[in-house]
Amino acid sequence: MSYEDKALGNQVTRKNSIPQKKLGRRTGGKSSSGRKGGLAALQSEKAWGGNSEKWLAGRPEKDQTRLITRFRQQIQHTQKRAAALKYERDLRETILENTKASLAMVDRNFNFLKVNSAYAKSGGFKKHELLGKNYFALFPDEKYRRMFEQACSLGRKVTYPRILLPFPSRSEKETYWDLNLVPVKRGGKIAGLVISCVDVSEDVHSDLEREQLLSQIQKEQAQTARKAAEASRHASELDAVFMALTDPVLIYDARGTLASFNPATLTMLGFDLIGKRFTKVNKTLKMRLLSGAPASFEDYLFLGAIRGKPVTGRIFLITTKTGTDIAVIASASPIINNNRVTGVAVTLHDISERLKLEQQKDEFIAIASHELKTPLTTLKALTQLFRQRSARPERQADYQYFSRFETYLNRLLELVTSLLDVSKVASDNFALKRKMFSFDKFLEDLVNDFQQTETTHCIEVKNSFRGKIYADRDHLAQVITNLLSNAIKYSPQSNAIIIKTTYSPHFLTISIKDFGVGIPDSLRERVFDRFFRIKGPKGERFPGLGLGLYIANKIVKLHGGRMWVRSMEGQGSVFYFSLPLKEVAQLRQPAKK
Amino acid sequence: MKGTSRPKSNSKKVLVVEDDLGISEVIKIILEDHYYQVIVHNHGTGVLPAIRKNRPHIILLDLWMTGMDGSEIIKKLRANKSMRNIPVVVVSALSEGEAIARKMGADDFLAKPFDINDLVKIVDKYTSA
Repeated sequence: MSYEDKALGNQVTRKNSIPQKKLGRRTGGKSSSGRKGGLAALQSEKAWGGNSEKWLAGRPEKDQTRLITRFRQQIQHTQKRAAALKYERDLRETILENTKASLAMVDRNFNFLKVNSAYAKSGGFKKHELLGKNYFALFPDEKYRRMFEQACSLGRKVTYPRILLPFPSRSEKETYWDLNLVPVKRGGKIAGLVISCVDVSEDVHSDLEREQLLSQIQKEQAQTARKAAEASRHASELDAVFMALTDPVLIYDARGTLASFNPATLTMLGFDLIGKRFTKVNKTLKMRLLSGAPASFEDYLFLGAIRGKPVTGRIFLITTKTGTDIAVIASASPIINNNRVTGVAVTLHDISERLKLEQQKDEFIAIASHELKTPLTTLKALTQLFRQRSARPERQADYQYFSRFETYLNRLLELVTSLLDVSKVASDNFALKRKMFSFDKFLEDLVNDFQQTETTHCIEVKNSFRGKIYADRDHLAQVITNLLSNAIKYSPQSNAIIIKTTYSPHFLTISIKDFGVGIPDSLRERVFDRFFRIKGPKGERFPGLGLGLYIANKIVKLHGGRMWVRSMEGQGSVFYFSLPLKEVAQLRQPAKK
Repeated sequence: MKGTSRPKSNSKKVLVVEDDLGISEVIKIILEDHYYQVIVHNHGTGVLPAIRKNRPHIILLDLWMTGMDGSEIIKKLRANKSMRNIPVVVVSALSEGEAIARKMGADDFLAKPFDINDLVKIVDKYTSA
């Protein structure tokens, strides 16, 4: 800077005439600084009036001396002024270059006259790539042209806030800018525009983020409100259900204290047990099993459910405040909040009526069975009597008829017995009469008896078990007889049945094999269902009620064993059942001594 | 067969207390085939006088009868000094008949419908002593 000051001063001193021209030429080659010089020259020429040579010519010497002095003074003054101007100009240039704002100046046709580094850089350009170029040639955008024209026509500063990249740009970066367009007037006319752009991306972005955050918060608030509304609706629905339920519902907290119950609870029980521990509730209601044995009802229910697993379908007797005994089926469910069991809901359902009906049904079946058996007793005894009386060679035909008569009577009796059994088995009212007895003798007698009335099939026994078993003899006989009858019934085309036993220290397994129609895979599990019947290969029906296997399976289960079947359709079936021998082994020890 | 080895004049008396005429009759036939003297009583009422009068060697007793229940009869019988030693066999079609019979102190139980050989066997058993 100081060099330029000196240079300017020297030239003005050495050559009085048109220093501005020389100055302009000398500095003209230099791009930006040269232009600065040019501008300053224009201004000093104006101050001189532009005709200094004419002004000196033809003056007397004294005048000339005076004039020179004055001229010098003027020069000095001008030098000072020029220096001041220069200073000011430099200051502007410095500010222009160093401001953070991106600044540019265009002429009226929007050709770039000036750009600062920031402006060029913002768009990813070099200054010289922009200077002298037309803004809209580089950045053809009608919207901006309209904005520029508007600023020009309005003749005052126009501001457009937060605009995406409002200048020629090679950058892909999403930046926002406040755009100011300031018309530059010369001689009352609009000579161009100063374009100033301030990067407000951070503001915009943070604003955007804030807005996003805000909208998210609002969304979450709305969602929470919706959820709350839903939960409240849900809660009121549940509350309505809770209140309207005709079955008692008791809600315990995690510590086993009765926290609440519905009106049905009070209606049924008559006691207000709120705040009481489950043990106290038990005691008050005299919880007991149907047999009358004491049961810590909620010990099972509450303590079961509080561990997180529902307890269902337990039957108890309770006594209400009025002293009425009620049979209830009770269930308990854990109340789970945020993966923690926070309480237990216990429901009770009065099944007194159902039990009464079941009892009536049992009684009816007992009576029906008794009534059916009574005439059968006479029929059977008479038939047997006549068969025995006809056991002479000359009455052989009669003997045959009476034998057949007896066979069919026995079948009828079996059906009556099955009906009675099925009702007993279904109501779990089925007590075994277990005794110790020799299995091989039992099986031998049973098969011999069976074979006596059996004419079509030959039963082969392969038994190697010589021990005793602890079982209900009659019911075990019923199981084997049933399996034998089935084996014969479902193998009309063959004539062999094989009974085989295998045993381990813990189980005796008995299998009955036939070579009959077999059971399709899809039906194998269902053969133990009540009233289930298998049809023959041509859809033919086999006689029976479909109760035999159901009862047999139940009897085996009551003995602690299990029953299963292997079968090939068209080849036959093997029914297996196992009986536990563990207790037998224990019982046999002292017997050996 | 048919107890041919027995003496024809079996002096043993059997009292059949049974309200079903068919059954009582068939029991009578079967046991008479085996030379028993069979007395049939078809009502629940008047059983004890009938026992007192006939002094049977064995009583075959039905459980469910009109008039008096079999268990009542047995209770009264056991309370009577002169008759308490008469063996009583309960003959019933009730499925829990055996349990009831044991509970009330009967000597034995025979389920209806019975095999006639079993009937004879059980009567022989309590009268042979």
